[in-house]
Amino acid sequence: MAEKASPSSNSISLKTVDGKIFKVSPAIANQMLTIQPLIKDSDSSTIISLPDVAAFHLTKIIEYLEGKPAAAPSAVDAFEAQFVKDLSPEELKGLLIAVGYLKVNGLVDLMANTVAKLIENKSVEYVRKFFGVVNDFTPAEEAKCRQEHAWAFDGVDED
Amino acid sequence: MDQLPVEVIGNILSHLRAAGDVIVASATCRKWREACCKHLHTLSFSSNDWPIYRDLKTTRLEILITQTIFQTSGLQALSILMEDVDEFSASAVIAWLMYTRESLKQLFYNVKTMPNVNILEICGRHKLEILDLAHNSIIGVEPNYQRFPCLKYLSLSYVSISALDLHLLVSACPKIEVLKLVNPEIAMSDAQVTVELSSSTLKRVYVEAISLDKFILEADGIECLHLKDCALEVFELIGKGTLKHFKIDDVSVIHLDIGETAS
Repeated sequence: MAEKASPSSNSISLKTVDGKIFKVSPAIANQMLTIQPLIKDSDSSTIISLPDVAAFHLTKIIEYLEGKPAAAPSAVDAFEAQFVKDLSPEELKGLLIAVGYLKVNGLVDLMANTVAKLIENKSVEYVRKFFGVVNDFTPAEEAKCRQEHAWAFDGVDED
Repeated sequence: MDQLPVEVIGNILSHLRAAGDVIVASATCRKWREACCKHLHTLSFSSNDWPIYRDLKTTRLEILITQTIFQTSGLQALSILMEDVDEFSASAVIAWLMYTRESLKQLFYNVKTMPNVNILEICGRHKLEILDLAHNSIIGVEPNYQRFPCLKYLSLSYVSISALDLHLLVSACPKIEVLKLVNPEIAMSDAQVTVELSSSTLKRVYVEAISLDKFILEADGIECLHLKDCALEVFELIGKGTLKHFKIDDVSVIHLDIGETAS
């Protein structure tokens, strides 16, 4: 490395959709794959805007990236369990979008797994309600799908 | 939730794993259906997570597995673990494997196939990293064609295989790190049953319920060795002093030779 900049001068500025600016180290920013290509060309005056990420979500993402233990899978499991424990369904969904947009190393799988556990063995109506998804199938298409896969639609919990 | 990228939905569906859950969730809307078709990487059919399978006829089960697999593309991990099914027809199993083999990295399969299907021939020379096979037969390993360039984990439970084929199979996996053998039915040609395995990449070996005259394991990088419920006349480990954990449970062995030549 030719230049020995102090950590603060080469930190990356990230601007959330609600206008907050966060300064993070390149090591942290580099784990957000979506912004990785932007980091190389940025200097201390560059501000990277994150249209799909609110301050609360970026705080959680930074908390995850800074706090995740480096070694020992059991320590990582304990840390991740603690990380998702206190998140409400609303916070989980928002974080899922933010993490999906930024493609955050490790966190994509953790969020997907956490959300998957909440919709395990649930009905279609439950999944739609949980994610606020509008059913865009025609009644005929939906009936056909239920008929073809009747085995899967039997015996799920309604809520 | 419209901002949720279709890849992320595919990831959620993959974490659901169980085929029934995946089918139900992918019926929520077109985007979720698309995620199931294009971005699902893990799919599991297991009688443990979906008890309904136990009430279905085998032919019905084959059809629903085929239908579900054929809706996906680029599947990386496939589990078909059915406790109560006696056997699947070879044509169904061949169809599942042929459809997925180009992208498949992990395969877990525990149902006997009638007539026998050469799973190694179908899945060899592709991307398989984990192969966990039970209640099947492996007949005639051809090392020039059946290579597993990426395989790291091989588990065979209640699998019928000859001593020679087992030797050839391990040799055909240049990156193998973990080998698990549980109650293998070792077919042999001569009166003395000798199993000889050789691999410089193996780190962990677990052998359970095996009865042999002679077992020679040549593994230069082995770190963990666990033998359980075995009856062996001769057990010989040829290594280079890398063994850290050696555990034996209920093993009768007459000559035990841990020939660790420190280098």
